[in-house]
This record gives sequence, structure tokens and C-alpha cells, in this order.
Amino acid sequence: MKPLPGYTSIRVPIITLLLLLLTPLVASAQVVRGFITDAEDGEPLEGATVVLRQDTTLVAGSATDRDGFFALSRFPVGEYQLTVTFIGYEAVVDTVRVAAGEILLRNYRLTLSNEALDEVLVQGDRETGLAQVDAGRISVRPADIAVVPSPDVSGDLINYLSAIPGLVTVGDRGGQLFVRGGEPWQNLVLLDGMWVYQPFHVLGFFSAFPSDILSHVDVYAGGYGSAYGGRISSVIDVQSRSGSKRAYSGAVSAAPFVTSLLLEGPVADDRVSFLASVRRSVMDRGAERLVSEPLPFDFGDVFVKLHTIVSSNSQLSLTALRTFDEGEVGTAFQPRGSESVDVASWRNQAYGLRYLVLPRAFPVLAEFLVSYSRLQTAVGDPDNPARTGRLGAVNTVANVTHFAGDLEVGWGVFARTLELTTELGGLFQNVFAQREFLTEVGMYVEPSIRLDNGMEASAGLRVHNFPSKSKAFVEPRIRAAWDRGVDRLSAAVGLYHQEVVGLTDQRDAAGVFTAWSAVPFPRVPSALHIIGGYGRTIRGRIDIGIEAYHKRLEGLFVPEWTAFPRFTTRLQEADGRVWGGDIRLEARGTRFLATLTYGLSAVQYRARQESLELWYGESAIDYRPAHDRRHQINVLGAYRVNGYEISARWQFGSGLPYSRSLGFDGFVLMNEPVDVYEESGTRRVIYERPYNGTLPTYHRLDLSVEKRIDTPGGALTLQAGVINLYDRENLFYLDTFTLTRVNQLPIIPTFGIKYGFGQ
Amino acid sequence: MRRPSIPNLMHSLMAVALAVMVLTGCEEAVAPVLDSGRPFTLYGYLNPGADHQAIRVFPIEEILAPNSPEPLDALVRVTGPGLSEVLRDSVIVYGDGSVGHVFQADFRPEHGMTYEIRAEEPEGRFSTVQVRTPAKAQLSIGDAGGVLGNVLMPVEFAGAEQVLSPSVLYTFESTRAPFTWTIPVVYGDRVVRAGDRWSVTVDLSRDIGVLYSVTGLQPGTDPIILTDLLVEAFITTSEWTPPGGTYDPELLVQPGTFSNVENGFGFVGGGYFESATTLPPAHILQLAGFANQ
Repeated sequence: MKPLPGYTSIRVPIITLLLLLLTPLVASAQVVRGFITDAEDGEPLEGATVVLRQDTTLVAGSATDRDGFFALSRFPVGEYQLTVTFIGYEAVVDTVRVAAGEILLRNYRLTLSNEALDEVLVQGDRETGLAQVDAGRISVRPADIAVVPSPDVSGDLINYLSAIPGLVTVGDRGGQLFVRGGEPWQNLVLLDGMWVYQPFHVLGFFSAFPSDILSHVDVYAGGYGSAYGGRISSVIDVQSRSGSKRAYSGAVSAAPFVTSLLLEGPVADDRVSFLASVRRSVMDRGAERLVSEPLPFDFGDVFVKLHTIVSSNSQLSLTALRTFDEGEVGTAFQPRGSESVDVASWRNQAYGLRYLVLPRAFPVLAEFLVSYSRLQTAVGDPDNPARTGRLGAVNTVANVTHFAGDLEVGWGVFARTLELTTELGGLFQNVFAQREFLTEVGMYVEPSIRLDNGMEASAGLRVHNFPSKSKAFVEPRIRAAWDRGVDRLSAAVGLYHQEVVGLTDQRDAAGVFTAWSAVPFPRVPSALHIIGGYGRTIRGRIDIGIEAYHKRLEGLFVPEWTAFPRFTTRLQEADGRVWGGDIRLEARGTRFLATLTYGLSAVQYRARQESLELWYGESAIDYRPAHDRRHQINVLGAYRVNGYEISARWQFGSGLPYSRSLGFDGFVLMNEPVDVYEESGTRRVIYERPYNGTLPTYHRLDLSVEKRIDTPGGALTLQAGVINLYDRENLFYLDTFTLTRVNQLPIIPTFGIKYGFGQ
Repeated sequence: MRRPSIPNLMHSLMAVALAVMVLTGCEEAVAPVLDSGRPFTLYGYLNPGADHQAIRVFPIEEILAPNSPEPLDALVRVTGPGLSEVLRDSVIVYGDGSVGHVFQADFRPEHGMTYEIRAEEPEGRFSTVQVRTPAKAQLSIGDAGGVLGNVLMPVEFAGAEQVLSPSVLYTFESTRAPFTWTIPVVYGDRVVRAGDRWSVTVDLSRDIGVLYSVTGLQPGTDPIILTDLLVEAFITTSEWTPPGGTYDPELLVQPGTFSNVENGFGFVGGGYFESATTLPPAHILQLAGFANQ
């Protein structure tokens, strides 16, 4: 890969300069910092509490981040009692003596408490869950995913994501996720810092992220901070586990949709571990026999991670992900009765290196990420696809966090080079097949402060430069929260830009083909997010959350409106407005969890096609795009009894907009005295207005019962369930040209078995 | 008042969920095609200069499918002053393999009259269009002459509401080939309107370049001998004017945009071809670059 012009040469001086500039903030302060891990497997423990006490007086306190990292600073020189606590683990108490200006490193391993938590479905006092409100952010842990019924015994992130109000999927096939009015190409999906461009499998129950490999997921439905950029709708930041550094373990599972294998263990005791997962769809031998219709989908994924504790103050991880998908997903532009079937396919590859270091000379945490991501997409005849897209990208990021008591200052620099190749087969008449090389560079700084009264806030500034557009943007972003015990207020506002965009044909609801390209118009798509929320915990067992949001989307592109029923189209610029809010309620006990969420959303696009004035007497036309799901309800219940875990989920979505027609006729261009014996004319759709109809509502009930049986050396998990229990004929897509209706999956009984060894 | 216990709350939630399920459990019909009540789309024109009339008729259908080769179940009638003609269906197979329905009849409408074309389904639904035929226009061709190195010939259509597709048809020979060429040169974008007078200036010296270009003949080597010159235009009414002033198919394809059909779509105009022949004097033609016979 060609080095970035000038970037490499300026990166080192910039980092050094910023370190030197920011060091005075904390140079004179004493610091205690380190990592908290699980003694059993060496995994980092997020959310552990670390406090310093002198006598009985609390001097400083902090919670560990997703790497198990903590930092305590801004306290006087002296001897302290350091206590680490985490729910379910034995507390650790240590004595530390801190000299003037000393930067101490202390790593601790926590052991599981003797008080068994086996019967606890979810933690009573928790920071994750659907009802938590944190300015657009929802944190997800594997335990959260486990309570959502899934056709696979191991669970998958996508099943949880689809339960979040405001997140819209096109159904149980297609692999597209719309977040609070945004489109799929506007989502940033990261796995251990690597960009994954099309991470959802063709069958909507599965993503590239099986639950077994996950450590923590942060889903930002908007309002994300300055560390994230290049996307204007959402961020799904997935962090995988590191694998056990103490013992080998694994699991093998089989279910009607997928089979999977998971292995993990130490490569070198306490220092190096690996985690590997392989999944492969088996619909032709499994689910297809349970339903009386073909399921022409094939997909799989492979994940491998190597994690190394290089020294007491540094860690290195190498991560690799490969996915493939292939499926007949249909297209609205296929001729009626056509025997050839369009097949959509995509393949992700991502390879990344993450280096985490606590420089001994600086009171900072530094993270360096280098990754390579690749995506290949195609649609059409599998042997000769009509449209293809290829993307290769190298991302380099350096994130540094300075700790100074209540104040943390995060900053970073990044550079990204992309090679994009698209062959669109004439799909967009004003976007041509091309090969492009793009570069994005920039930096950000984001101080954040946490006060004793529960206030916390961060204000960031990101400079994002798109040299190929000769444009640079300054993106201010603010996140704030006020935790008042049982009440929590939160808000976020931010500005975002995106130069590399996904070209999709939004007219084709069944289409999943996305080609990545530089934005085809001079305007770079941008979004302003505004979010405000309130949450309350009642008696420690009930969480109520309310959140409202607004997204102002500019510089979007949509297919031009035309009555020609043709495959090709022109793109036109559009703007979008999203208004929405959701109400979430979660009640939990030691053996049960019940969640009810309701999402209300309104998405409106405004297109300014030149011909609109002539057609409608308006210079612009407002319409609801095809992903504007106004109402969403999710009801989730899980109950543990006699070792059985029973879960049920009912989901409801109001109908999506689509364009109804008045019929079909023909068009003859009367630009001259046409000889009607010679001029055949063309077929035409008689549309009234764009997206003037509403498809039927979507709803489905899924049930699952799971039983874990401990065996010598392992555990056997048996699962039985039903997807779409009352066999609702949910519509997947409707070809309005031929009145062909394709439904989503019918009722499907599922059975899964999983054997875990070394667990 | 007793506080609700958590299990009770859970039961309440489940009850609400069950109620919503029951309420929303019914299937909903999808009606992707709205019945507009409009049965037909019509294209064509009534020609007072011809004895045969033809109108293309598209049925407005519920699905996008090729037109059926079966006769169209429609009654198409033209009525006007002293005229009532039923047009008969003819199934046309076009060059691209598609099938269309052209309704035709042998009659000649009169100039400056209004006719109604009505296409009716057996069920009674019908589409109609009022078609006005143009009055007879006067075509005059002026003397050709040299102007600033060009040989120009003024042409005027008087008494015309609208003039479309003016063209000059050159019939000529060359010593290179043993046959006669007839090549049109279109003047559609060179019409100047002043009230009901439409003028076109034929540029003979420019057009000979077009003729050489089209035929592949070589100027200076292959003389072009003009034998006939026909000036022609389609005379129509003011209705035959596209919104926006241009015939952009991307614009005009929108149903109703360039349409005069009531309870239907499409456009049917009225018009005829007005033409005259001339042959400028030999010395003028020579000045333009043509050879003498």
C-alpha cells in the first residue's frame, strides 16, 4: 500500500507535540493506574470499581473501561488503601504508597465470589439493557443477548440489535440495518477497531458477531463522540473477548440454521491467548427441511484473535475476520417469469492489530490501531454478475487519553486510505464504473469531566479532512449526563460527515447490493444529531427510559423519480429529517426479565429533482423513504425455572412506505407526428406520488427454551424453540410491477444442541 | 394503596403484549395498484391531410406485462361535425417484438374542426380526448440569394398555430453513384415565430456540407447535382406544445404531464404536413456549392 503523502512524516511530530502540550495537565499529579482482569481466564473486567481510601476517607475512585483499565489521579502524596470490587467477584484490597509525581502501575486479578450467581438471569444493578438511557448509547453484553430468543443456541448480536427501538431491519432476510432514520451505509461497524463494511448476514438472524466471541458492544444510535467519524448515522463498536489465558475450552453447536465451533485457550500461560470461532449455514440440511419452501441462502464467518500481554503495561492483539454471504434475495426489476435468478453475494475480510500501552513516562493510555478491511459485493448471475463492488481500506488510528482526576483528555489522529472499484452495470446513469483512491485524515481532541455531583460531560472537536473533495470539516460534539441516583438525564449533540458512501438502489426494497464509492455529488453528506433522554430506576429492579432524538441529514442521494419501469436510474440529491422518541421499560428479578420498548419515528426525505416543478408544481417533494417505520414495539420476557431458561419475544413494526401505482400503460414520445405503426413506445408505471402507500404491519412471536446440563469436563446445552409461532405472513417485499409477494419466514421449529468443553 | 409487585407488573406487561398481539394479528391486504378508474391511454393525431387515421391505444392494466396480441376489448369512436367513425383494432407487431393496438379507420377530418375520440370498455368506463385540427396554413418559399458568403432561402408558414419538424428534403445525384439520393435536413431548432407566421431560413451552403457528410461523397471530387428541393413541416395546433418547452422524455414520461386525454392518459393532436417543392436557379445553386446538371 502506498504510504500516505506526507502523513507518516507528520504523524510522529504531531503525537509528540500533543503529548508534550497535554502533559502539563497532569505532570505534577500522582497517578495509580492498571488493568483489572478475571483471574480465571484473564479477560478484562469492565465496570469494576477501583477506589483509593485514606483511613476511611474516599480520596479517588474510578471504574474500569472495556479493557479493564483504570486510572486514579489528583490525590495527595501518601499511603492509601486501594480496593477493587466487581459484582460477583471477591474484592481485592491493596496498600499503595505514592510519592510526589509518581506514576504507579497496578494490575489486579479478581476471582469469582463463592456466592453463586448461577441463578441470576441478569444483574440487579446493571449498566446495560434496553432500558438504559445514555444519550443514544446502549451497551450490550453477551448476557443481554442470551435472553433474546434465537434460532441458534449460541445467540447473535443482531437479534439484540433488532430489539432496540429505532433500529429497523428489512426482515429476516437481506442483512440491512437502519438506525434511527439513517441508512445502512451510514452505520460504522467496528470489530476491535477494524471497519467491517457489510457485517450482517443475508439471513436476518445472524451477523458476523456470534455472541460467544463478544466481550462488549456499544451501540450509538446517534450522538457519538469525537473518537468516531466518517459515518453519519450510528456506530456499533464491537469488542471481542481475548480468550482464556489459563485453560483450553471450546464449544461445538448445531442448529437448523448454523453449525459452529468455538475454541479458546492459552498459547503461553497468562500471557498469550487465542480465540477462534467458525460458523457455517446449514439451511439446505436443516431449516429448509422444517419449512416447505426453499431457503436459498448460504453464509459463514471465521473469527480468530490472538491476545498478548506484552508486559505489565502493554497489550497487543491481532484479530482477523472473514465472512461470506450468498443468497437469492430477489429484485423488483427482474422480468416476470424470468428463469434466471439474481444472486447477491458479499465477502468481508478484516485484519487488525491493536496495541495498548501505558507509557511509563506519561500518565496516559495510548491505543494504536492498524487494520485492513476488504469487501467484495456482487449481484446478478453468479457466473457473470451485473454489478460488482470492491473496497480495500487501510486504517491507522492513534488514540491517547490523559488522566487528571475528574478530567480526562482524549485525543487522536487517524488516516485512512481506500481503493474503491465499482462496476454498476449502468444502474445509476450519472455514476460511472470507476476505480478510485481516496484518503481521509484528521484528528480530534475530546476532554471529558466527571464531577462528584454525578455530572459528566465531554466536549470534542474532530477535524476530518477529505483531500479528494478538497474539503475539511470541523465537527463539534458534546455528550453530557447527570446521574442523580435513581434519575439520570443525558443529552448529546454532534455534527458528522461522510465522504465514502454506499450506493444502493432504494427503489428495490429487496435489493441488498451496496457499492462503496466517493460521494457522487459535490456536497459531502452530513448529519446533525440532537438527543435528549431521561431514565429512572425504581427500587433497583425497574428501569424506565425515555429518549427523544432528531437527525438532520444533508447531502443524501436518492434515485430520481421516473415512470419508466427500468432497471437504471439517475441519482439526485436529497435531504432528510428524522424525529423520534422511544420509551423503554425493564423489570427484572433474580429469575426473570421483562422488557417492553416502544419506538416512534418519522423520517422524511426532501428531493429536489428538476422536473418536480413541472410534475407537481413544487420545486421539492417530501416523502417517507422506504425504511420509515413509524411504530415499533418489542416485548421480551425471560424466565429461569428449574434450570430451564424460557424466553419469548414479540416484535411489532408498523408498515413501511412503498409506492403504489395507478396501473401500467405505455408511453410514446410525441415530439413529432409519430407513426403509430412504427413507434412501439415503452411501458410506463402510472405513479401518483412517491411512497404513497403503506405495507402491512410486521409482527412475530419467537419462543425459546434452553436447558444446560453439566457433564464431566463440560456442559451440554439443549435448546428448542419456535420462530414466528403464530405463522404470521409477514411481507418481505412486494413487486408492485408484477404483484409478486414474497413473505418472510413462516413458522419454524428450531432445535439446537451445544456442547461446551473445558467450561 | 398497595404498590404493584414486580411479578404482577410482569404479568401486566405480558397481558398488554398479548392484547396487542390479538389486535394486530389479523392479516392485512396489500393493494399496490390503486384503481384510478381510467381505462385507456391514447397517442396519435388526426390528420386532415390524409384519408387514413390511426390511434395507438394502451389499456391501463394492473400488472406490468407485455400487451396481449388478442384484440383489445374497446370501442373507439371519432365524432365531429358530420362525422361518426368507429375505429377498428389492429394488432401491430413492432420491430422490437412488442405488440401494440392501433385503432384505424379511413376518413379525412376537416381543417379547423374539433373532434372527440372516445375509447370505451364494455363495462362502460371510457377515456375521451378533444382534438382540434389546424386550419390550413400557407407555405411560401422566397428567392434564394447570397448573404455574406452563405446562400440563404427564406421559407414562411403563414396562418399556423404551431409548426413542428420543419425540414428540407434534398433530392440529388452525383457522378459517383448511379442512383438518386433523398436526404432530409431538419430545421426544427431554427424556426422563428412572429404571431401566426413561422419562418425558416434554409441555408443551402451549410446543408451541402451535411449532404457530403451523410453520403460520404468528397467535396471537390464528387459534384452534387440537385434535382429537387422539398420544404416540409407539420402544421398543428397550439395544444401540441410540451410543458417546459422541450420534448425531454424524462420529463414527459410522467403521466399527465403532456396529456390531453380525459379520464385517461396520453396525447392526441391534430395536424398535417404542409410542403412545397422548389429548385433555385442554377447560378444560386452553384454559389452554394452544387454542380450544374
